[in-house]
Amino acid sequence: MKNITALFKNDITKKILLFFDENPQCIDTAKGISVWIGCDPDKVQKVLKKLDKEKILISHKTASTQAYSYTNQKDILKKIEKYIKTYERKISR
Amino acid sequence: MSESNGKEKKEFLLRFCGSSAIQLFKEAFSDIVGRKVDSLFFDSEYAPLETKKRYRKKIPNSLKDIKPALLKEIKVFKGSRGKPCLSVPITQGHNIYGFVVILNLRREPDKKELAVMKLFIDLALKDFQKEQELRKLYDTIRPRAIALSTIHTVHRLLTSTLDMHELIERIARLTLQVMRSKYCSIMLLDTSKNYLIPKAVIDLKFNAGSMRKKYRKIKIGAGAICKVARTGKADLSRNSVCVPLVEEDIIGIICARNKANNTPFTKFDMEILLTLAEQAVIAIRNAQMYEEQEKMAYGSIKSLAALLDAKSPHTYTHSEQFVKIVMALAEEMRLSREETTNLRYAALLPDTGKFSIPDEILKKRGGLSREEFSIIKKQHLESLKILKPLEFLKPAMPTIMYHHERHDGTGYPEGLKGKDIPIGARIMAVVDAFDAMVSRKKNMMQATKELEKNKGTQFDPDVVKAFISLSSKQEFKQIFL
Repeated sequence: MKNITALFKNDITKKILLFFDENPQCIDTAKGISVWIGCDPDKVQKVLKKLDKEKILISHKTASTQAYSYTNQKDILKKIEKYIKTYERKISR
Repeated sequence: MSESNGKEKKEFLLRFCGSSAIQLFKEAFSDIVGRKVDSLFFDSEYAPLETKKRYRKKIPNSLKDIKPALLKEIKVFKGSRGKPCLSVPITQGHNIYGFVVILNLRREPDKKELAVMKLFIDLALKDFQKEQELRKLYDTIRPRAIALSTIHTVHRLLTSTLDMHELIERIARLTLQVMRSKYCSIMLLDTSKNYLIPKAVIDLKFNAGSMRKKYRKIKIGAGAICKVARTGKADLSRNSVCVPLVEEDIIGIICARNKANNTPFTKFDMEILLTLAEQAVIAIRNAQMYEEQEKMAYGSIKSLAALLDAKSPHTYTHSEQFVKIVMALAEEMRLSREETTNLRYAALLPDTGKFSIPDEILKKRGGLSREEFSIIKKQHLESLKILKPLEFLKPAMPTIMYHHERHDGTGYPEGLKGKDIPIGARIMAVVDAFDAMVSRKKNMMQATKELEKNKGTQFDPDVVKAFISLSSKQEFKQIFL
């Protein structure tokens, strides 16, 4: 997995990671996720593909659609969670 | 306003006092009276909101014995050192939430200023209430909307496959995801309803969540899982949630165990799993029906092939080996499930139309006359006639019809070229030629070389390339053992 700080530099990536951290049970399409985070679906789709490659998200492919869900890998989850906590602390200051 | 009890009222007041609206109120008031003002907050009984000693010290003595009932309007009173203080009630209608007290003003505000302040605080309260209600709505509706969207996506994912094995694995993985659990098992009841047959077990503790290949069937007994399978009632405990798969009758169970963050399963989790199970049952039933239908279709084609074979073996049909190579090549070329199924049907009955060709032409050794060849070329029309009543063969018909076409457009019946020839027909053409050469005692190497020689003219180069790649694999060699 890439450096999380680098991932958080992209606004859409940051929003997607915060969304999945808040809703880890969610499985949704790029269109759905773009509604939840209020971003352009095409841009969201690109970032989702990238996060799938990074194994932060799991893609569920079918003939007509592709859905994404949060990883189950503990080490990745811990890293992201830790980063988000620090990030939120910074924001609240 | 729904804050009816005192505790909720106090919490609401605390949030309001810390809000940006109150900060703005203090700033506006500071502008009017020409100095930074200090403030205190009291609840509806005029008890200070903060209990710290430092805070209590600030409260003027004149306020300590005051009766809130007397303070329903904005009121000026003398504070310590005789400086004017102001008590502004935070009210809506007859409902008093509390008071904000502005301390030690430099001068007493006039009536107009007091009226403006009261108006300001009323508007700020209204605004804050709206904001709170919106937040409440957001906090309650958003998670449910996301859960609903997840269920909708799950439904789309489940209904997009009819392959039972793939479906069961997908249900298990989606369950793990939706429940955020470390373990999931899906078991179906056998026909006698005496055993639960595990179809998918995923345990994230082992092998990074891979599916376990060997499962032991469970005799229906007294355990929690068995009770769910027997009674059809969901079971919820701290570390597991188990729901039945019900379609008129109980057909199995889905069980999730151990939440990833070690929190207990809740009723909400059970509701979600029940909804997922309802979707899963429909998908399982569809896949079962599709499997049965496919078996029936395959059986009918096999019967037809056997009937034709009885007349003259391998004249109208090909060997089992031919079908196996076609299937292996379809897999090598990553054809879809639907394309593969249709290709399998076509491979079982490639030359049904030969039935109408006189035996003397079929068995003739050496070259055919122009007339004889034109009879051969018409066999596809006969195939069409024979197979047309079998509706399920409709998608396989183009493969049967066009497998004598050539890549350069010199084949028959229509002289189709390149990619205009259906992929199934292009595959069958290559395997048909290979099968014919091997049956005429050519060895595999020679036959493959011949295919390569004719790629781009007789055969699709991509198919030949895939065939050559396949022919070097062990599974291909096993077909001939």
